Amino acid sequence: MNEVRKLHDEAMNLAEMAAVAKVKGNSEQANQLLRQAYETEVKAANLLIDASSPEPTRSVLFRSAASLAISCNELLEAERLIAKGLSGNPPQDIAEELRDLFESVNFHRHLELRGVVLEEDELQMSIAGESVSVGIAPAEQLVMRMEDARKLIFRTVERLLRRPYRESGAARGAAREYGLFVSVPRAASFAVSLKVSRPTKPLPGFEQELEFIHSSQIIDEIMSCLESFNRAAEKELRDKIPEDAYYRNFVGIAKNLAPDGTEVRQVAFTALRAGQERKVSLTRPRDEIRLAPERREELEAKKEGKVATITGRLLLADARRSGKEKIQLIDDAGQAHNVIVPEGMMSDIVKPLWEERVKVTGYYKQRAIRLEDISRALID
Amino acid sequence: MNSGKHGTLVLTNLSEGLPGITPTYGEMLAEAGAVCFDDQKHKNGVELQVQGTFKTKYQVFWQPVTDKMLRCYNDEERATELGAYGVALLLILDLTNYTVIETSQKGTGIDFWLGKAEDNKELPFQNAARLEVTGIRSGDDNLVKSRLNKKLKQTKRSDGTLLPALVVVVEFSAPLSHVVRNERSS
Repeated sequence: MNEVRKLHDEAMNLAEMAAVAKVKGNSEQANQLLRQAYETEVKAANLLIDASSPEPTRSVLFRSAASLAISCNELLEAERLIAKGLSGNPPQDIAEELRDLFESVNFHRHLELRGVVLEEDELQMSIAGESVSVGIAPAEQLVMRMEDARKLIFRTVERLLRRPYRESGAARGAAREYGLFVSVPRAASFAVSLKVSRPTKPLPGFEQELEFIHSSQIIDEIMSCLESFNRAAEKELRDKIPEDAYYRNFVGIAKNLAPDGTEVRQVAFTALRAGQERKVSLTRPRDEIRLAPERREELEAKKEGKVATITGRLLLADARRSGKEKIQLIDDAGQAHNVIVPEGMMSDIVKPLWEERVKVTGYYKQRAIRLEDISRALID
Repeated sequence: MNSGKHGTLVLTNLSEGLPGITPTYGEMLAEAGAVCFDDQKHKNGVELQVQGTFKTKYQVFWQPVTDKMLRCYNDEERATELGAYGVALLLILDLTNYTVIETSQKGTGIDFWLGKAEDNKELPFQNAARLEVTGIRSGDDNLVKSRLNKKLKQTKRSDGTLLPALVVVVEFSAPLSHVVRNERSS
């Protein structure tokens, strides 16, 4: 048998074995087999290095070897193989696929230059409801939730890195090194995959200089907290997020992610971790989510009927006193209401609603209202 | 073309291997296909409609789905893709005179090529036709048409180089399959 065919067949058998090992959850074995496949396919392709070698065999083999090189994170070698493939006379479609691969190499190198790794674990967010069809969703419903999901992920990163809650300013230190990537939307009813990029592992001996958490830890933590939130298991959620500011922040963002009950009836999060699936479906509309009162004074205020529900425009904000930020709401009759915003809510929950017509719920404390929940008011 | 056939597709035959596909890989395709049909609550022997260049129907048979299989193939998108590969390969071998399958790697997965026994045995991919497969776990006609058009557009790039191409869309809920030969290049 021709040497090219022999080597190529061997490489493909190894790649098939790698695919099977991956499906069975044997990642280490899959990686070893993939590397052997890559090395064997490079040998097969290099036997046709002469640019006048028969096509499409030549370009298909170089494209195949380059794909395997990318899978093995051999980016420089992948680049060379793509160039070799293009240097012959590839058919138009194979040439196009070689260029696509080159873009893929560039993307991986961009991550490498930034010192980050895009892990395979991902969090899929899907929305379903009357206004959502297969593969299409209202931009507002999607974009808002994607932004909230982004906040949820980065607050979780900072919490897991044991940073004190940050009410303003940018994240600091290692927390800044994490990123979020969104992949092509999927039709189910409408879903996007969110992938967290993390800093590359510190070199041996430098572990202390960079606190490090895997994206899998971030995804596990978010899923675990969302599960407690979804069951209204307030105590369980408090045990997971003991710090008040982070707790309020999580609850506020999770409520924003919840369905509105009309346009969107379900928001589901599916975590894919090493091929294993874990799912949380938020089906209770935002307005029906009730968690137990946060403080004793709040409980007493509720008993005494001092509960406040005001609808109006959010027009004034005073963030000079950290932890006791204030906002002012002008109701439909033109009356101003001062609202104290507890730590954890101003930046992520209140600020995006600036100048909007909002509904505020809370309880009276002296002459001001202590904020418990704030959301966009429905248009009458 | 209307073959008027009403044959059978036995997914477990894939685990005997195909020309160009190892038995281990074939077994994985068969298992993924079984998970997809089972997930759509179909009974063994369900009728699969084939539309497009070939109009016929098949009875499909698969092995019992185990808990282990469900755990292995719980990534719906991946399992659907693998299941569709399995169904498409069996269909092509039965509906066309292609007998050999070659594979290569491409950025988004496996690239299948179809050949004939009498073709050049020295070098792979010579005189071969490309096979584009896409799987849908559950979708309506519009989604099937949209996937088919997308794949046909991709293979049209082959026209200039005279690489023939076959496009197969497998939809598991109906279930149905669209098999279309890229006419200009065949």
